[in-house]
Amino acid sequence: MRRFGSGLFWIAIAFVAGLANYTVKQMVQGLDDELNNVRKKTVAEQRQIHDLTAEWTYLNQPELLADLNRRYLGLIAMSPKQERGTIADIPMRPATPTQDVPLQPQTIAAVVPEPAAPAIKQAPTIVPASAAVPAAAPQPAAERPKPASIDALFAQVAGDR
Amino acid sequence: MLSAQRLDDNPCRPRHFKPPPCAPVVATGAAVEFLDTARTRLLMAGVLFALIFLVVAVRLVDVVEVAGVAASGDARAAHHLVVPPPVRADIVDRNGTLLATNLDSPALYVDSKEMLQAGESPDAAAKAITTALPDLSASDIRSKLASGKSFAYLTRSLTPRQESAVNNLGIPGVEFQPGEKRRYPLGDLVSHVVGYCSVDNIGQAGLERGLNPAIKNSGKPVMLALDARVQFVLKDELQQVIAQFDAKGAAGIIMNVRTGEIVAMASLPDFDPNHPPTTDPKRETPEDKDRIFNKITSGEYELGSVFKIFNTAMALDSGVSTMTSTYDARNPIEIGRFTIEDYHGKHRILSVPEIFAYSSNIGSARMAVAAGAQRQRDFLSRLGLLEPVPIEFDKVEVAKPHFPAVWRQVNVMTIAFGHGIAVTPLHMITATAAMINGGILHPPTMLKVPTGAKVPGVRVIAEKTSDQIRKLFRLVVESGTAKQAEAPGYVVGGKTGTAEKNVGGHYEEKKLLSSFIGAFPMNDPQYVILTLVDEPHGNKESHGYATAGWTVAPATSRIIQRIAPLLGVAPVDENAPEIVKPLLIESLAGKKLEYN
Repeated sequence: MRRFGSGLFWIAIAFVAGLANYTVKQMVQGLDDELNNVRKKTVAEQRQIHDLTAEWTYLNQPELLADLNRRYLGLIAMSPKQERGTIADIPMRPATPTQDVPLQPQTIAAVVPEPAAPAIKQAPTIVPASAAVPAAAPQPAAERPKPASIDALFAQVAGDR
Repeated sequence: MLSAQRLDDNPCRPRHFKPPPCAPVVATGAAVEFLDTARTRLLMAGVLFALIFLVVAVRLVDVVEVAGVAASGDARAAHHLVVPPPVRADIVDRNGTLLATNLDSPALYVDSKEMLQAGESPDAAAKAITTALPDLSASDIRSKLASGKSFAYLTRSLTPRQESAVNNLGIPGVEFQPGEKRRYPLGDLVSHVVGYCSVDNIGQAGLERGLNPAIKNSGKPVMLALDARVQFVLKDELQQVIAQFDAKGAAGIIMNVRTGEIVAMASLPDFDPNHPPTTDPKRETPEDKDRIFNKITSGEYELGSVFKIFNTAMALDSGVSTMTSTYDARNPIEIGRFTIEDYHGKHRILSVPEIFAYSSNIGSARMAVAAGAQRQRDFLSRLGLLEPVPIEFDKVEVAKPHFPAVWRQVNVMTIAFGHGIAVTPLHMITATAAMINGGILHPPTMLKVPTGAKVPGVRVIAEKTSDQIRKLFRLVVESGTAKQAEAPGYVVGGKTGTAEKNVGGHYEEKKLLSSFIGAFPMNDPQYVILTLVDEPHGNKESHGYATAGWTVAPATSRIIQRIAPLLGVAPVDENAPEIVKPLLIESLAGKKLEYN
């Protein structure tokens, strides 16, 4: 009886192993098919991206953009007078914003070299605009002044925190 | 099992045989023999199985460890699946903007037999196809569809959109044949730089020809030093110059003085590389020839006064002259059948900076004579002006300079002010970059130089001489012939040249070649620009002048103002003492240059 039992045991093991093997194989085959599909799609999409890049470049020809600008926007190049200082000259946002917010407009005013230059004439308006933003107490959105510059906007956002 | 063994220690006993508990086993001769045979057989079977398992094991190791490693390479390649490399690699500018690429453009053909068998009506199908592709002739398509032949091209090189439109019609027998076509999305903006390809994908002109092997074999995009935006600005301004002065053509080139990178190169008139003009000598018109011709690399010109840059640098660097040396420019020089005169004649003794600023031919000729023929020739040779420029273009597109075989006194004099020697604009800009960058001659390159890469170069003049040339450049723009080249904030310097064209052996007064070579910012030169205009005509605004100072100098000013922000050159205050002082010429301080 014991021998018969052990025989049955090994048959069961073999059956289970076979079943497991079959399932795994099926799964792998399924994954393989899926992988192949994804690959095909990737290739098709890469081709598409390639075509679209070419089209994008074609549509972004400087000549065309310049023409569109002339017709609809009328943007002109920045003059050297407007280009005083670099990104590095803009102060980093302070680590503790609530304390430093009123200080920021002054830092800007200090960076501006020639207040007489026409392009920078607006600089003084920056000061009251952002100075009016209270440091800690948030206001209802409707009442708050529109930020006059990126820095003022930063200051305003910082005030909200 | 243990109890059974105790009963009987014969391991080969059949299972059903149970010896009587107490009866002793008698080993007769026959039984012993039988048992021996059984043992031997068992042993043999065991060995056989062991061998089979060994073979299986060995094969398993072979599959997993040995063959597996080799196969996994393929597997990895298969995983890393990308679009198969195109026939020709892309060409991109320094910012990655596509300049040339291969696009799928399948041809459309019909298997008429299959179509007719499917019961499709040729009339309806022809109508549907011509609706999708309006350029095709309906009757032609209809006859091809109804022909009954198994293969007939309907059209070649479809765009992806057209392909999908035709595919959506779902007409049986109408099939696509895969194919690729070289496309230039920026069209005529980069015509002479990139060039174009033949139908069978062989580069015919420009870098498509010069870099043909690299483009065909690398599979990786070729990145140029060119900046498409800067190129546009250059071309736009040159076109304006042509329109304004009713000129025959124009050309321009912009180079980084530290690396030799060419960030823009334009030659007008130009062509659209998507539809290049024919080069078939039978059908080629003079206009076609003119459009294909790259003035920058193939054009040889007697550039005139811009050559005084090299004459002055030679005299200063060799110690023949100093900034305060003076030369007699009172009277024209008569030599053989030539008379050397001044355009802005001062009729007095001039110092070196004055000769440069007034562009005195007489003074320059005397300076060259003082230096001597050998020194002049050696100097020009050192600057690479007597050899074709080494660059990535095919050598048929790079002209060899023309200069006298025997360097006579008259040649020395005329070469001093840029006559009697013909070089390409590429020569001119390469050598000028060396004059102002501190004295190092870098070979020009169309390919982007990676940041931090070591740039090849040889010293051709001393740093001190280069500083002096910078001062002279600035002088010409501040108070010389090129005041209109000034661009506020960018400290422009340069030299004008207005040469009469040599037509059939004599110089024509009315046919000018006006050029201006400028650099910015002169306190720390970064880019040098050469612009030239072919046969400009004076107009009202220029008071009838067609000289460089009125044509290309103002254009250079506009170019600089437009490209400096793109190239990351920050404007400075040109009146600040730290900018003014290093560029000041002491001997001229307080004096004013006057023009008659």
